[in-house]
Amino acid sequence: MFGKLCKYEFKSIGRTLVPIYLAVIAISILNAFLGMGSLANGYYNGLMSGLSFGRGFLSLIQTLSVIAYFGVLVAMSVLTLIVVIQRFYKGLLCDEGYLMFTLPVKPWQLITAKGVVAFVMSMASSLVAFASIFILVLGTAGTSRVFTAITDPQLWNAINSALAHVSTWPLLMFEFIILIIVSGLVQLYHMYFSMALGHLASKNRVMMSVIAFIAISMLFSFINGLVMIILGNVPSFQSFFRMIDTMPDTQGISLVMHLTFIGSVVYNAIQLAIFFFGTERILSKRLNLE
Amino acid sequence: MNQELITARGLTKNYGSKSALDHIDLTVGRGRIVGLLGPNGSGKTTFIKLLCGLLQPTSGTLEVNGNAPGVETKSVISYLPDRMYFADWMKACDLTDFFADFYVDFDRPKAMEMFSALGIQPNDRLKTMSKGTKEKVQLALIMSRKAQLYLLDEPIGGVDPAARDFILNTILTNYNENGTVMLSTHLISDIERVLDEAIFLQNGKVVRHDTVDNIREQEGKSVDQLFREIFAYGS
Repeated sequence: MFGKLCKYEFKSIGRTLVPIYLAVIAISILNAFLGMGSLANGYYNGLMSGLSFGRGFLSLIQTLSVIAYFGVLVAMSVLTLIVVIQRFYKGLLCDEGYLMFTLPVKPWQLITAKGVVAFVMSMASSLVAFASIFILVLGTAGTSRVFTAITDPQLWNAINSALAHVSTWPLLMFEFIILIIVSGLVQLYHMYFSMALGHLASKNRVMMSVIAFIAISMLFSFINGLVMIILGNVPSFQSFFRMIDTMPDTQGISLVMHLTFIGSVVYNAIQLAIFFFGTERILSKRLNLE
Repeated sequence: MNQELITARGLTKNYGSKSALDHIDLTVGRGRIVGLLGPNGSGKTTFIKLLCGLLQPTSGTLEVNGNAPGVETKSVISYLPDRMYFADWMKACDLTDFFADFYVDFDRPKAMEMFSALGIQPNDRLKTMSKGTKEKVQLALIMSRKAQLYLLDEPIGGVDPAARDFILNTILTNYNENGTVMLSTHLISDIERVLDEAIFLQNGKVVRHDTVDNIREQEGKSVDQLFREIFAYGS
């Protein structure tokens, strides 16, 4: 059942986001040849300069395609956020909720499917943004130069020797990926929990959701600040960071990084648990669709 | 399977300080067509929403097939809400896919048959359909399930008399023989002929629950007349 929920979620999010992904990639390719790419490599200058109107025309197209590029990139990030919010709000808390909450599934499955799919699609949006930048670099520098640069043995030697110093780097990498996933989910469930809290109000639910979102943000930044102040005054915590210098080699820094990553994962996981179970409880026990 | 289909004991639902259902006790058996009758605000929709798990009771218990509302009851209840609950980008065939995926008792060929009787093509989008057609699509999907309990909230509320007949015929010819149909309405004269039982709700209380035959015999009047008497203004 969970897989089926995800399937429909991908379908309904994908129909909005996939077209804009294609637009981003298409405009990146256009820019790689025409816009920012050709501004740098001057490919068309020789070609068009023979024509009297050529340069003016070319620069107009270049300007337009650069504007279009930033336009779609901004549109993609804004749209991703809006769609994620809308899929939860309209998909569970408005009329579509009558369908979803009468399916033979548990509320936590609905909430998990929303979060997992929204996370994957946010990652997809980021990947598309990276891909578009890569395409631009390819266009600007030329395929062969980029290829030589990233296959340069010196570069890889440097990376290898740096990694050799930190023997635990695969573990660090793993912790870092976990941290990205957990903190990404925290952002999503922060929004979901706010909407669930707003749903408790009998009217002005959208406004109450926004207020809940801000209140939760303030609460957690207050807690963050408080924790920082307390930790800053704990002597053992200061000596913990001094280990970077006192321990031999890179052992100190890798230990500090491990503990920082693990600590951040734990802190984020606690927030995630609060947001997730809070949302689940509200939608299980206090659901009241309009 | 001998137990009653629906059992409510002391069922109460409050919205804040307002009471929508007030200590309801009732049982409903299988294979019945039951009218949930009452004026606006009498608690009909609240009762249906409690049955399908869209609301949680404030106090008291409610069981369908011996289970409190949950995954088990949702898989045997086919619910028609008083609104359109599909995303309008969906096509008719997306809806049948959706139902087939989530409900094991869904009969896809039957749904397609009803669609074609309504002149709906599988690739038609909900967005392009009229309000009345959307309602019929929803009803066709709901009635294509072989459910134990069909909960229909105001199925004939907003449609013209011809569509009303179509809807009632669809309900009568398609429901699962062992299942119970519960439909809420305040348009009693239209549905009286199909009812086995009537539940009269007033201000969140059951004021009468009887078979239609008993009502006719004992009172010597139709359910519609009785309704008008019970809910006459000033009473």
